[in-house]
Amino acid sequence: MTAEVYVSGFGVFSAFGFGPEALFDGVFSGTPAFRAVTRFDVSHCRTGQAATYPGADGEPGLATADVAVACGQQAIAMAGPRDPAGLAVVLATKLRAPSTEPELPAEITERVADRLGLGRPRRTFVNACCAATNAIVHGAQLVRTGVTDAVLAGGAFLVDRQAFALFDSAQALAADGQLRPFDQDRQGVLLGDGGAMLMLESGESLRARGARPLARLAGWAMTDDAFHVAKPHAQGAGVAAAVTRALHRSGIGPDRLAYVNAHATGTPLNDAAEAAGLHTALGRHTEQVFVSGTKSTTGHALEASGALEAVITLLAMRSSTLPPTAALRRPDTRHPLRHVSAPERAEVPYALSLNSSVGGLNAAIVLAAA
Amino acid sequence: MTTQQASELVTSAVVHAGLQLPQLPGFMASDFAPLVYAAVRECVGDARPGHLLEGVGDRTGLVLGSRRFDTTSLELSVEHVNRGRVSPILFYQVLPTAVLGQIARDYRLTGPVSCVAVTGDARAEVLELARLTLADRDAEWVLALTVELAPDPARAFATADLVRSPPGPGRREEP
Repeated sequence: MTAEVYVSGFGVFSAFGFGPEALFDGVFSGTPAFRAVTRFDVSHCRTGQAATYPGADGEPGLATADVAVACGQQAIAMAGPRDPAGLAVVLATKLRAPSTEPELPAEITERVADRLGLGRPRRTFVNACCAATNAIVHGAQLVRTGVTDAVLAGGAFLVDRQAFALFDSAQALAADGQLRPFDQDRQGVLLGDGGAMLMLESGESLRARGARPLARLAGWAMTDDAFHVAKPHAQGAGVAAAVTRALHRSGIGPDRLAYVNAHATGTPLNDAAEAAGLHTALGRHTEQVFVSGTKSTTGHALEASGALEAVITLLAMRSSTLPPTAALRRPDTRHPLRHVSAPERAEVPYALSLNSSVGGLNAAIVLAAA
Repeated sequence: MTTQQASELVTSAVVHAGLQLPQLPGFMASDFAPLVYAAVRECVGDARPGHLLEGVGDRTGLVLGSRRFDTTSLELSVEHVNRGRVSPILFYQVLPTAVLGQIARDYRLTGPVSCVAVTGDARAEVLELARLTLADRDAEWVLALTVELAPDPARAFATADLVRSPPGPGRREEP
């Protein structure tokens, strides 16, 4: 049994606040959400900037589970009436040391599911920056293979001292306090709070309850570079393979792709590899496909970034507006892309969201207008 | 709920920590990565010509399951942050994807790679994920791995199960 997979609702959180309106106003105007971090001491770090939500700074503060629950509630409300007990859940979250987070990572998912009254299966992905895209892919597989007819899939992340210090130690943070994907002067990444849950649902389920989809999840693929523990393949071999396979599953060629939301971390190696991989996968169509890196406004939400960016991609399709790459002044010329440097109007019948992570992992999803 | 798609268990392995566990260059802080790597080696052979996945690397996925993953490296990173000097090596060593990237590189595996956290039976969970991956035709072979560290290092272990799609008209020729 195979089923088509649709997105019927979503909930989202970022440094701009809760809900799609706050996200749209910030990301689609190209306004970076970075500010001085007050959540913990950053005085010895390369930068003191991150895209943190002020409402999450207090004590005891907003927790990852709260973000996931809030996003799940938004998604359920948007999708329309149905029994939450019939929903599976797949959550991407961060691994933490037991001394800082006594709860098992999968117990966070259980707690989120219990608070929302969700059913099973309940799964937890922790594969770094591809975790949320993996959660969406897994949710799609659950629906497509008939294990469930609807699932909440996404991730949640709040910037914390551990993640900040580890990125700082690797000299991965942008010392200039700007996240400038694909810019010749890019200096690195900045972290950001983020979360999103997408309701993925079979066409049969939608028809049965008379609901309309927001988009179709047309394709997906995950690959590995098989190249290096920490560095991306210089020519983006794994990126190219993920994009090619996701387009193939979608039944379209690169000529029909209008927009790519790139992983685009603003680090010299990653952006170069991703651009090279996009060239390989899209070929001569590369010059027609719009590309933007929205971490330039939201920051990098690590395990949750794939879900946050899937929602941004969905908003681009629904609004026929492309979000820009903020602070892009001197685009890298080695693998030129059709950058969105200012908000742009465009019809988006098909769009792709792409993520990569340590270990050479790559994950791509293709959304189609419903 | 489980997927109805069948899968064929090809071979399995279990390894334990201890003096016999080979070190893994680049992963010195913890037994986590050496355990996972050793389980893969025990299951499919050394990463040189003749291993079980030779020729099917583009159709092979990796799934790693655990309750807590690498608590040793995670706790070490907390110690480093608390004292204000963090080893940059920990940036990737705390991530379970790092050792999977090394396995993918050494065995030339370019299929999907997942890490799933569990509360119960990790082996059952990764085998279910493997079945789903096969059913979705994302891969034709999956290395389903689990790993658990323990307060007593001698009780730490990793498992590896190599599963594949059942023979049928949709499957490509074996190597």
